[in-house]
Amino acid sequence: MKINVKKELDKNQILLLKIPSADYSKDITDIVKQLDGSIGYVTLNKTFDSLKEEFKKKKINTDNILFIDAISKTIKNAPEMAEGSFFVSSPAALTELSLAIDRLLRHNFKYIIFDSLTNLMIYEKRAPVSKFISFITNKIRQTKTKAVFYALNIKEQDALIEEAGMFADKVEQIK
Amino acid sequence: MVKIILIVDDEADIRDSVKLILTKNGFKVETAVSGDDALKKLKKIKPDLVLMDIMMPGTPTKEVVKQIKAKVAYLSVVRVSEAEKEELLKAKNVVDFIQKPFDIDELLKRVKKLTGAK
Amino acid sequence: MKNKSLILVVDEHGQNATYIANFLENKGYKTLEANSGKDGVKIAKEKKPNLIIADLSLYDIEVFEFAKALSEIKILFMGKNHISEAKIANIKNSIGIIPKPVDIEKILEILKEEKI
Repeated sequence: MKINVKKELDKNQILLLKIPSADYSKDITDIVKQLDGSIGYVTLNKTFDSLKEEFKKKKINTDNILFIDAISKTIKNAPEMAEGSFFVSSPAALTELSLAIDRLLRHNFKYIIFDSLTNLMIYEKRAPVSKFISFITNKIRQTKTKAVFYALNIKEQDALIEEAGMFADKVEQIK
Repeated sequence: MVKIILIVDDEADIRDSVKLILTKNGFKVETAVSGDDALKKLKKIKPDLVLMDIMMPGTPTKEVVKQIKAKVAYLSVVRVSEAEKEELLKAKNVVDFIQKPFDIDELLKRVKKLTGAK
Repeated sequence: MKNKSLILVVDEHGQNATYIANFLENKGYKTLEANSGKDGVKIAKEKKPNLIIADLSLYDIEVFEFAKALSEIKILFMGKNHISEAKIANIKNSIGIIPKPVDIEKILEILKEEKI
């Protein structure tokens, strides 16, 4: 892993990480391995089941992780919650997503991982996404929780990613 | 007989690239930009296979699939577990689950297999 | 304050429970106290408070058992124990954790957000 995310989060509260799609899977597990403490993992493109499977394969203990799965409900019937996860109706359900992130902040999670802004931008228009990012980064800043937002390198989203970067303390590109 | 494929994806890149390779290989290709658009098109055409993006604006794919008889292969940017994949394939007319990003030649192979084309 | 919401404070340290209860009474809330988890469950089932503020280090009952017994009622936990916040946050009726010694203003803020 080329970037020490833990170290970056020791120095910055909100990090925007640009991740190339090539090693995406490996990068996300490497990052989780680096972090010590509770993690609220918000996923917009990988189901809770698939992440559990992936993490198990990489021998990552998920006892300290609570998933917010905003994708499963769009492709199958999922309950409101399961052991290890809450489910949000869809990546476009921004109010629900906000409430879920609020739950993580209220429970003093050490880290929040938002995987990913790219997916948010697929399902929603630019204005609501900007508003959402501004709103939640504001809420995060009122707490001690550290947050890392992932963005995949996609040309059409360059402008929106730049904008999102303004709410972060630091923007890093993983090579 | 010429096999007909309907590609349903909100991304123009995907529709264009898949249409190009399938047409070059002897398939007749129709496109739709959403589930709702697909339902409209399916009133007029009878494809041998529908390639459908699992996540699109409008009526959710899982609802659309219930309303059609044609064979469907999901194209999915969403990563699912093995068990979930099996579950999705249980639906009567769902015949395959293709993870995005996919290799275009691999897609061609699968389409040929699923439609019994040579 | 017109608000007559009922809040149950559960803490084995009686002084702490009373401190919080008194403060809330001054702010117009009705309150009850319990000095054990099991008493808390009994009182809550009987009196049906709008919210429970409970210490995480209850000795006579497991946190999950406590929460499950009172699944209809929102619980704001305080303090800490060996259980990860990831597990506490996974409890449907848990609305958060506040550190001890409690910041009473923080409790009021949460009550406001929860419309209690």
